[in-house]
Amino acid sequence: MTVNVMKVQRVFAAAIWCMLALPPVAAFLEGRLLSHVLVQLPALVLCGYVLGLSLRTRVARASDIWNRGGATGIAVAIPAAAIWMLPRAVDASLGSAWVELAKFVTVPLLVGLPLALSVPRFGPITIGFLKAHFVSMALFLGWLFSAAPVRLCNNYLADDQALVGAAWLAIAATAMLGWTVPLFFDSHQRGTPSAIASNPKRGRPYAVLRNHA
Amino acid sequence: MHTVIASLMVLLIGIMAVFTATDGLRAFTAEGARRLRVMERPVAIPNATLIDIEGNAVPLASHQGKVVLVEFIYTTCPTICQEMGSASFQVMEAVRTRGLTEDVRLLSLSFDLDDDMPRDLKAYGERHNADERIWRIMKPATPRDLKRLLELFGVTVIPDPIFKYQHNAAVHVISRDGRLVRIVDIAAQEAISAMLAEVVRP
Repeated sequence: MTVNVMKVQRVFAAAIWCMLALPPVAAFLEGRLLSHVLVQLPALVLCGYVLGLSLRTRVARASDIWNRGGATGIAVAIPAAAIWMLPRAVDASLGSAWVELAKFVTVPLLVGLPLALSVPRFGPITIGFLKAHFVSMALFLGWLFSAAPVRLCNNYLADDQALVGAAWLAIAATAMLGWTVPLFFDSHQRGTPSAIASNPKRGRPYAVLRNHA
Repeated sequence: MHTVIASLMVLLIGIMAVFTATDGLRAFTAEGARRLRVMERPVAIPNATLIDIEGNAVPLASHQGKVVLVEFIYTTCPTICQEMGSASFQVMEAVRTRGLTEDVRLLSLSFDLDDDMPRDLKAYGERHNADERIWRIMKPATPRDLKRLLELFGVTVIPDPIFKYQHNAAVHVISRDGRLVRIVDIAAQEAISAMLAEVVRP
């Protein structure tokens, strides 16, 4: 990757971050639960991700040693993401400037950035696992936020909570369909009788995995 | 090998962080967290000035020596709070039937300082058959008193287009020596009974 592209990526990440941190923008996005967790937080992840893209080549050698298969990156990103999915973390970021600062620092650096450094290293099974994990997590959050009899965040209205639940369910459904439907039409899936007949070796799942890797 | 060690260490730190952030997987919401916090570390309640249904100023500390059950209300609340009101009535009845009239004071505090005048507080009490010996309806005298109490109790009041407000409703139990020791759901009859048995007796 050229130096120029890397520079553009860093400027882009910094620009989004600064925009999100502008008090009126932050106040607007945090005004509703939906935009807080489904716009602001993903945008912060994106900042870190783009920053990570610009660092990929620079840390490539260290990553070969310390982040094989993207394992270390994902071990950082999943607990960090889990913490910011907690209703109490969302509430706390509104009540305390320190928690808000921690959110603006850790979501990009501990979720987005390690993801960017790890994604190209994932094997097909890791990707499948992460997709399944994402769908089940989105379904769980969707169910939780739409079915909870009490408000989960003291700072947001009950209607807002139900809306976020519906949004998570929609995201889960979209991801599930988006990731599974193409599989049935993908020429790499050699499960059709004609494909097996023409190339029996590729009908076996391990062959498919090897081809993908 | 490096990756195995690094990812395991990082994961360990991550799990510890999740544990810390949830008080050992016990509190996932701000509401759960504040209930756990007061149970483990009771906080002393500073004095605040309240206004009663006659419009007189009454210090909160004047109830000291009794166990005070504080809930936050606004009298213009439609449906939900009418249920809350009847739940408070149940609490009052529980206090009365246990013969704790002298030991327990139930205090409904309005946070709607602008719209709830002493006569509104009085009407609210009458509407819910509040026995004045046990159940008093009051409001903080100044916005400063209100803010301090809400912050201390961890109550967040947010505007609502239909119900005017939404807030995390609960009974806040102040012990005889003036410390916030429990936060219990008002409609949870069993929890209220257990709390009365535990906090009032000793």
